[in-house]
Amino acid sequence: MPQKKGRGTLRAVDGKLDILVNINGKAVAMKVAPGEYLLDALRREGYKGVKKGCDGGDCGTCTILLDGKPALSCMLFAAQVHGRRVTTIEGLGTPNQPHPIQQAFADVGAVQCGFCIPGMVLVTKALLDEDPDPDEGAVRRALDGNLCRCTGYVKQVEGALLAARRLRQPQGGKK
Amino acid sequence: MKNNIRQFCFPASVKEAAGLMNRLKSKALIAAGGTRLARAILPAVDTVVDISDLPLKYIKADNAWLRIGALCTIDEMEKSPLLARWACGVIAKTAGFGSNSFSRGMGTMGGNVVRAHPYNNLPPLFLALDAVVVGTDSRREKVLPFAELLKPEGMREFGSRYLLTEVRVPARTKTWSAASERLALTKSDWESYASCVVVVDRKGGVCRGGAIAVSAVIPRAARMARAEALLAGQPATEATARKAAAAVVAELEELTAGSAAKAYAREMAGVLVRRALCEAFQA
Repeated sequence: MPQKKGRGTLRAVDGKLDILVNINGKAVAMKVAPGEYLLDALRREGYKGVKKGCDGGDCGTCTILLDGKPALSCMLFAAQVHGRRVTTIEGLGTPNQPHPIQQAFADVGAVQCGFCIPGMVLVTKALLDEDPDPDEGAVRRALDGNLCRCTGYVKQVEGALLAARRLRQPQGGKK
Repeated sequence: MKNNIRQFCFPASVKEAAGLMNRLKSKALIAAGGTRLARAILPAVDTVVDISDLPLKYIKADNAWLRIGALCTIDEMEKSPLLARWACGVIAKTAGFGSNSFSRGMGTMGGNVVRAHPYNNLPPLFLALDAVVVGTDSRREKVLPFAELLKPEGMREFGSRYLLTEVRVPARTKTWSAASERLALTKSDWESYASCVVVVDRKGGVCRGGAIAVSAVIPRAARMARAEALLAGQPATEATARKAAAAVVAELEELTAGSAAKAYAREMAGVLVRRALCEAFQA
């Protein structure tokens, strides 16, 4: 991870902190309460793909990528990501142009209620960025912090492996 | 929402971070990996000192020490080629015990050590490896044997006055045989019934000495001195492992009160020590 210097000190003015975050490739200025969690701040700003599940670091539905690595937004203060790069599920694809990982999850039927899926897709993205050809064990280990109460994880693992195969093809999984 | 927070500081140097800690005292808390602090913050705290920018993310070795920077994540320790070769890879293997992908990716070595919960995987590991912790109060460096850190006064000092910067493991342990074992409901379950790390210095088929550290079954990770004494000069065989394991159970009986659950955990600790010793003897 690159070392960042010079983020200085953030002091509350009228109970708010001004933070600047790169969200999904765009610089976003946000006013946040000093004790506000990143999860709540992101949802307030409209990033509703970041789900509020356990709100205590146990379920993985609030997953974001922080400088490309999976992180739990319910366990971070919003101010902690000042000057850093955040990716939410909205940064991966759209309903009309899904990311290859999203398409693979849909194609294998990995989605039931769908609440855990944004987190699983983001974790899969981080895994495939680091290891384009993971085996099943590596996928299961990567997903071991994301709880799904509908399924037995079989389809999500299949989806991640299918996405890996497609992304390794020359056209990068694009149809 | 935590309404007591007023400011966030992002120090760019270790000296600045330690200076902030000493100036703000109990009003400041250190944030590093971000796996726990945001939910565990105390009402008196009004400043979060985020040290994630500090250059404490390294794993390197010289003639005297293996040095692990406090901001190394569990994931980085697991994947380190240097740690994979050190003491039969016991550091890389043990680092990932009882964690899921988030705690491996976000959790830091420093947080695991300073928090020193009995379920944490790194305290028994560093205890068995005769490690020392290094901290700074912005004016001078303090080096403390790992066993001293685990005492209440050590925890107080390193939680407030001294910023933990690295853990050093003696270079002599590089070629020693080692193994670790853990009993929990699932692999990723943080809570465990018992865990142990054993390190054996052996030549041929004979132990020259060894270290046995146990945790989870007792409130703080501890070395099992009487069991360790049974290893010196003994053949590296299952019979020796059984004797040492029995001594561990006897030692734990003196340290823990006798409920049925604890009796089970003590017995399991003995089983884990025997298995770990047999593995280390064959490594």
